[in-house]
Amino acid sequence: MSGTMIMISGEDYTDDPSLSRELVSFARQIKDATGEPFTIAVVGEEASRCTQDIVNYGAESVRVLSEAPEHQLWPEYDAEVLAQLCNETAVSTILLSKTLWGTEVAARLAAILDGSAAMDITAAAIANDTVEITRATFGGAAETKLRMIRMPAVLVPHPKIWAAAEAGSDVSPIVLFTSQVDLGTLQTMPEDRHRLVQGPDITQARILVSGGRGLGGPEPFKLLEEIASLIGGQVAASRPPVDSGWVSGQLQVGLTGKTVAPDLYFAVGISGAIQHITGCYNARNIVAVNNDPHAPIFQYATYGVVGDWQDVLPSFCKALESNLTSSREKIH
Amino acid sequence: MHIVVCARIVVDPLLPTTDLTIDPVRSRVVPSDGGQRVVNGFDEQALEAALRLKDENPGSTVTVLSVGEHVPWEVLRKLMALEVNDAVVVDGPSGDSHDSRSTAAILAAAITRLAQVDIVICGRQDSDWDNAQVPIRVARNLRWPCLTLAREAKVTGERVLVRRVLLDGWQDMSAKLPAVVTVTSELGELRYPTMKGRMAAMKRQPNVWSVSDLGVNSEESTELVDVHIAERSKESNCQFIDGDSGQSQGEQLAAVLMSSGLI
Repeated sequence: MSGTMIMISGEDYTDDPSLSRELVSFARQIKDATGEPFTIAVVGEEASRCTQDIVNYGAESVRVLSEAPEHQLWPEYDAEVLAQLCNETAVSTILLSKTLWGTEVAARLAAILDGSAAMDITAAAIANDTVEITRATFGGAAETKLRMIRMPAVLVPHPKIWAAAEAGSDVSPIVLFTSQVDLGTLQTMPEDRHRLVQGPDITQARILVSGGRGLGGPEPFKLLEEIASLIGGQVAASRPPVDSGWVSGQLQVGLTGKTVAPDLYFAVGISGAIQHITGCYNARNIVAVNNDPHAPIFQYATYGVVGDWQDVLPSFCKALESNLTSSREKIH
Repeated sequence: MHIVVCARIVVDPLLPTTDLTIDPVRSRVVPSDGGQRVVNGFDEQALEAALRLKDENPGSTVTVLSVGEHVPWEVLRKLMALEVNDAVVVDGPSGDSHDSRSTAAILAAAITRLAQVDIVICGRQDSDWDNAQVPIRVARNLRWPCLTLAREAKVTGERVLVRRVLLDGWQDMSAKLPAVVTVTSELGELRYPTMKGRMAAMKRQPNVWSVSDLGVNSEESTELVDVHIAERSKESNCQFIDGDSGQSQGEQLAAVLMSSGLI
């Protein structure tokens, strides 16, 4: 073994710092097992802001790309730059978060360095000469143990398995590095980028009220909004409502959306396909409302209602409202 | 233009997890009744992207390429009911494993053997392993560019332009052909075949190659140590809220959640 490198995109960090701090916990686990130190490499937009935040986590150093190309979001460029950094510093384990950027850069790095890569890791047994991981497959329905043969091993943990690390008092030195990548050799060319207005961050919510194909259109999401606001939650969705344009992609839970682990997750009109379950099976409690008693979602649910949401939710909402009114009356 | 679509056969991701079991001989997750395998959903969308390119560039050909041990033709054949010119199945155990490196090496060798390929389109990831690594590794092996997460793909002259999906919007990205493109669900569903297409597909057969024919080094980068069904998938602990009407179920649900302190 010769060290772990955590790789962070400044943009991902701004979006959700806890995912990067989970990588720190993972790296500390490796350090405890092998004695090998870890470094943190930061690239991309808002790298400098992220760097100031990440210096108190016990990394041997925080390496920051000193200059970025005009196009900030360029996975091919980032992967080439980070591969160059790995080659300079003898790294045996690379940790990235399960974001669009992290997943793509992980795959590119494994290809460039001809190492191995594993996604959705839920446990790891790392010793001085072996890296063995357990990962979720089939949307968490199965668990698979893999031994990483080719090094470096690029590891992408399943979100919210490792706890977000707490900051310490030691300050890691910040070391700038420059890119030796010749832009002329890159094969992809970023062009226009269009950003939607940033929506709520569903990964931080304690309660999520999520709707699926069974809602039939955008209109019923208003009822989910109403319920969410009564219980201090946020609205989320499975893939079909996003693909159909009923709600924004920022609300999507699942394989191609976000991974969430709220205390309470309402799945309304969601069948529970593996693609969806993979994003929410770590929720502490799942409440499923579905008219198909055989829907796979009930497999994962703590509470289940077999029925039409159109019959169930209005009275549910009303009961919440009247409870809220009576508790307010008690206060006054 | 010659378009290759990589398609993998997977266990139907809509199966309830209680219907999954382990094939101890091959260390694979399989449906317990032996049935229900489908074309990976994202790969169906890759075919849709290919057919749209074919519509816009008349005279193009589309080849479907699949690797794996005993690829079930009756499942893959469904794709042949559409405007697909050819199918190639590369038979071999290492083509359909947990290991992206070996799968990609075989796919890249097969693409090299196919004549004059301009663009390879893949689904963004498989619904079982979710690795999202094979297309990037295929591109690396071929020394071609890889554009990912396309919800639209257009070919203009010698370049391919894609609109990539991001969580907060999109980004356009282009590359010179030949190239590998991965597509995401936002691209849209695979079109329906005509009855005539479906009838014709019944008679079609793939070209079958073997991994050894390709003379490829498909050494794995990871070793499968163990696979088992997760405890949570074996049985349900769901407490069902009964009631004589939806209205009473809704009221009871609120009462249960409030008394348990969850809300």
